[in-house]
Amino acid sequence: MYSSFSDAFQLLETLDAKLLGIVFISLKVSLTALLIGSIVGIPLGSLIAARQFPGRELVVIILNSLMGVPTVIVGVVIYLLLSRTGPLGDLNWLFTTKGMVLAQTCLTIPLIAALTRQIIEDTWQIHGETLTALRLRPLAKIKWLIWDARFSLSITILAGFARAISEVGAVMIVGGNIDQSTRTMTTAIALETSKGDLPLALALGLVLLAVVLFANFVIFLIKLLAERRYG
Amino acid sequence: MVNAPHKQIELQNIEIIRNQKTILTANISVPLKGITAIIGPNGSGKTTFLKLVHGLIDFDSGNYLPGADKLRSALVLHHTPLIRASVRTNLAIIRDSENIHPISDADIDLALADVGLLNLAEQSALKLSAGERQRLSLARAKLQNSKTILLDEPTANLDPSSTDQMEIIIKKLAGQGSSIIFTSHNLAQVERLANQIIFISKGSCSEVTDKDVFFKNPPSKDAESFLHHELGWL
Repeated sequence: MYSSFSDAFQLLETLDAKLLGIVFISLKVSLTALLIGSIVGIPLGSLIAARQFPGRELVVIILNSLMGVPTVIVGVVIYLLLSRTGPLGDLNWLFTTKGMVLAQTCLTIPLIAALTRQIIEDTWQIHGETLTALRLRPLAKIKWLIWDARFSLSITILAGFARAISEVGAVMIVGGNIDQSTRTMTTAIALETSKGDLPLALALGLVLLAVVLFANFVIFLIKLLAERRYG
Repeated sequence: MVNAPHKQIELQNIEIIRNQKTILTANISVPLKGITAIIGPNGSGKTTFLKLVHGLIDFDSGNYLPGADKLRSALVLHHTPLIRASVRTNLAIIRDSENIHPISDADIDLALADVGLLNLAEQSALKLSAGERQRLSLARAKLQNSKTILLDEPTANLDPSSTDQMEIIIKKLAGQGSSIIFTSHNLAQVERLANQIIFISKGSCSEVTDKDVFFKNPPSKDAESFLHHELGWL
């Protein structure tokens, strides 16, 4: 085991090209999915929080339920949609990073939207009457609610990133774990461990941990600075 | 809805019912001039009255005639939470109001200067004192260019110095042609500021009464009793 760790650190020290390639694909896919997930999820969650419409409670229940859907289920559904006979087959996204982004976006949107809904609903309780009394336009109300809760919302983005970067089921099914093409850190760890190549698996695991820690640190720093500035 | 011929708002047989309980009845004309104080015991319906006039809550029966021009009031609630942003940004929010006139940066600076907050423009609004927050809310009301400004207990919980500053600003706004309608528990303040008084008791509004007349000859037994309890001079 010690030699595996030693070899893993050597891979990291030498900036192994194979390892870096896998890390790059992982980050590209997960950050793109996170970006799209945030662009869609935050306004969606905010709209549900600040607007009253028939069936709203049902939408909230469905959204909350989707947060916990197993990644392999999402992977299978996206696989079926993107397969040659599926409704999105013409896109030819199966076993490509585009397909993986789609799968991870489907995982991040409900999570970000559901957490955003809760945060914005709490913010609405505080500011709703004032923003209405100021006669703000409906979309402007949502804009200022998001702006007021922006530091709390950073947690939802972090949760979305953690969901995307750490999942293995959906990208494995949709991406196919193809070397130098669709292999991510998580799928590579699963594969290399099953093959007995522990150093690469360990090295990728350390990078994965470092990435998640770094993301947490950045969010913590932003919140800290912001709270000092804005109270 | 028929426009009223005079510069006044008319509440005709208005009734607001919540949870099968009547919380406000009003049959009253309120002239939109000078400073009008709304007084009455806690829970009598003073804030409800302001929210009704502002259009923030609906009434269940009656007619509301908001004056010759559609009333474009500004409402400053007793507790006005501010957005987690600078003082200037909290004022700039007004740019996103419906049917608002264009507001320049200079307009914002002027509004801040009018309430003595220009030097705090870039500071976080959440770090303002209670008095500064109320002044910011007044600046926001002024920036809305409303001819009618509704203030819900504008000086409650403020120290005497902040209260003085608020009263000066309120008088200045009235002097600039805005009609002010405010609620207050502070009868000394009502006497200092108001031209006329509306007394609300148990959800029922009295007629608008001249301030001096109100204090000398309270228009009802309830008003007399209220003054007696509040002031102990009758």
